[in-house]
Amino acid sequence: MLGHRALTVQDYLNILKRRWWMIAVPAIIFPIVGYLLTFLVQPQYVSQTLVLVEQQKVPESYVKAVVTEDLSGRLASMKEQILSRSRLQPIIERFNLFANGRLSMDDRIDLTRKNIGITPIQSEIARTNGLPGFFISFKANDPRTAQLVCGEIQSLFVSENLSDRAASAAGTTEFLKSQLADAKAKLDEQDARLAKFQQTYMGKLPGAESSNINMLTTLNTQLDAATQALARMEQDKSYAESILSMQQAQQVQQSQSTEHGAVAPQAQQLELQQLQAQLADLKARYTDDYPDVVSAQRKVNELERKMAQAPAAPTVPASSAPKTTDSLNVQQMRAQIRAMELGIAQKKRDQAEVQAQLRTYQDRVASSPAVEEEYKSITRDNQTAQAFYDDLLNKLNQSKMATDLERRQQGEQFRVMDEPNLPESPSSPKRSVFVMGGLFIGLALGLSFVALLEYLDTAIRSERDIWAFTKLPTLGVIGLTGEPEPVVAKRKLFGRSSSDITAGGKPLMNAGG
Amino acid sequence: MSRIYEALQKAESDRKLDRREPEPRTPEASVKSAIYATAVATAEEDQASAPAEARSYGEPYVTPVDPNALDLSRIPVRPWALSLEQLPSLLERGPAVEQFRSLRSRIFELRDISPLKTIMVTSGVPQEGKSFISTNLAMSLARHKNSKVLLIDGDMRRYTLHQLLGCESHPGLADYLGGKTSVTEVMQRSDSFEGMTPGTAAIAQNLTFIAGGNGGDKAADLSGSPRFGELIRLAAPHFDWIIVDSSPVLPVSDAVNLARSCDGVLLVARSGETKFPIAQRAQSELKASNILGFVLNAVHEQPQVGSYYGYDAAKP
Repeated sequence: MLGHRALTVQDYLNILKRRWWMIAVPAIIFPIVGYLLTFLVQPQYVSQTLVLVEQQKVPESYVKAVVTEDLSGRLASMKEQILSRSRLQPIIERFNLFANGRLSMDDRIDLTRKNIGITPIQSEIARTNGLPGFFISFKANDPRTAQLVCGEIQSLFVSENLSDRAASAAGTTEFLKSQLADAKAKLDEQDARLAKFQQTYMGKLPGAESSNINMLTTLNTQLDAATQALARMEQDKSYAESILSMQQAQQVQQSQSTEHGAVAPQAQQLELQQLQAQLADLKARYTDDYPDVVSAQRKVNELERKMAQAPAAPTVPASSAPKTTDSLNVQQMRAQIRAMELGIAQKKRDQAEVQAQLRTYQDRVASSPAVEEEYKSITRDNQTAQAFYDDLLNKLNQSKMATDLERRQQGEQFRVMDEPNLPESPSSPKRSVFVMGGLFIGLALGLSFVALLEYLDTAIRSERDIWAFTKLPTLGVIGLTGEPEPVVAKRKLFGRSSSDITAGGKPLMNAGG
Repeated sequence: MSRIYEALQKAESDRKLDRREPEPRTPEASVKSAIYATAVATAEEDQASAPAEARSYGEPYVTPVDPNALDLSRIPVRPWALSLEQLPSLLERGPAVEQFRSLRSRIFELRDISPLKTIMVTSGVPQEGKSFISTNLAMSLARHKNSKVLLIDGDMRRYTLHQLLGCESHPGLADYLGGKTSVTEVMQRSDSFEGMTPGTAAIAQNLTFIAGGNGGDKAADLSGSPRFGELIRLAAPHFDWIIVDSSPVLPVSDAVNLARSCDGVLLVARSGETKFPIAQRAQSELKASNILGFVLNAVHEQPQVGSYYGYDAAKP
């Protein structure tokens, strides 16, 4: 009647009463079947081990760990490595896992992978980095194999972690070493460049400025002194020449005293010379307006005019060339002058030299700023390279220390907390689950079967049905047998069985055409 | 004898007048039933004295429709073997008795609304318990205040009522409808039999039965015969109730034909067996008739009834 009209609770109860066995029978049979199935299903044993992760023993502030990646990430990559074919295949072959069927090696590896469980511990106590540890479990058909394989995988993990960390530390050190070598080469190059620069711009370098200035001052002083000395020497020379010329004149007078008129020009000449010397002397000390200078100039001019009027006497060249005719005095004089000339030449050379030096230094001082700029850039590069090198060196030392730490197994490491256990009872199949599942399936099957039957069953069973489908009243309700024995009726707990029996006993009851 | 008959007739008309009165158990009613019982007893005596006369009716009976034409005293008395097991309404008490009693009350209620004497019992398909219901209903009615009840087996194809009553099936309704016999010849009443309790005896005395008779292939034609209506009209004045058991509606049309002459139709549905489409079709087949309602037969779930009677039965 399900689905043909609205049902009340009483209807449902009636349906249940009528068909309870349809629900009860599968609900009893299926759990039993489930329980029996557990004997057919191959048992699975799970062996488990706990691996704790210990932090490094030396404080981080002293030695910085090389591997700082989060453990979960590292665990994941480690798992991939360990679950690789090359690692698993030897284990599978050694323990002869899943060899019962005709499975290919790939299938066996897949199965093994499926049966390996790696679960991190989720600790309530919050840890700053990573996890406190993880479980490794392995599922196998017999407990001993499960234990052995679990231990194998656990040792793989531990060794993998150690070698991984050591390799990581060593790799870091190696890398730093190569970097350091590079940095050293670069630094050397920089140093060479600096040296060459310093060589090239010797004296122009920023630190030489003051010495250059000092040198310049000194040279200036030297130049001054040289100039003064030169002037004095020229003066002396001219004086000596004038004396020489006087002495020659006297000699000429003496030699020409016999000759007429020859004295005058010679005397005039001598006088002129004297006057000229006097004038030069005066001029050296006074200005041209000084009366003595003016008068001396006038005398010189008059004398020169007189001499010009007088017929030019055969002049004796007043050369300094020694003449055999010259007296010893004159010769001495001439030698003296000669020496002076040499001295003047020498001084002039000195002066030129000093001037050249002076120019050099001036040049240096002038070009100093440009050089300084270039120098600075070079030194800056050098400093950078140096700092880089120092930094690398520092890191290398740290890395070496960390590597040593790993080698001594003082860093973070996996500690096996529990050895893999030997499972006592199979983890699967779980009897209770099978029985409960059977019960559930049985109930569901029974209920759906009853629901289907009720839906297909369009039989009229109650007054309500009659009213729902025909809108006619029900005048009477006659019991199945009109059971005359009330005690039996009272005993009817489930109604059905007893009434069936009585109906069977009285086939004509309620029957007829 | 004629005085007694007149008294009976008077009582009948009185009852018709008093039909609206709900309480039948008045001192007056008990007086009437006493008279009734006397009348029946007398009739029985008369009947027993003249069986040969009743059997002499051989030729087809042509009906003058006259109430007096039906002489109840001529009804043959035959040995019946009522079975308590198959007729639970014969018991003194029990669930079935109460169930038929409540069905009877409902029918009484219906009679208050409209005149109701002839009730046909039918159903959609065979094997739903028409005969069981009709027989037991007839007995239940007969038990009540000694009402006179006529039970007709209208199923001329598979007549079974005679098996329930344990009596002869010939001559039957088919013979009457075929014009072979008279009304009184097809009727029969119960002789006293061994193991008959006083209650059963009273019921048996109030019950008149017309067996099915072998209609065979002609059943459909016979059921369409106007003689059936005639029979009802003839019998109606002499009986309080006329219960007609009939064939199922859906396979054959007999019941529909017979229903035209009846005041009301009771449809029987067998709990857990009758499909509602069958019930609906049976209802539509009988659209022209006055369907009183359904009787739900062979119900499993009757939780309260059982315990009530259990208590009742525990009393000494």
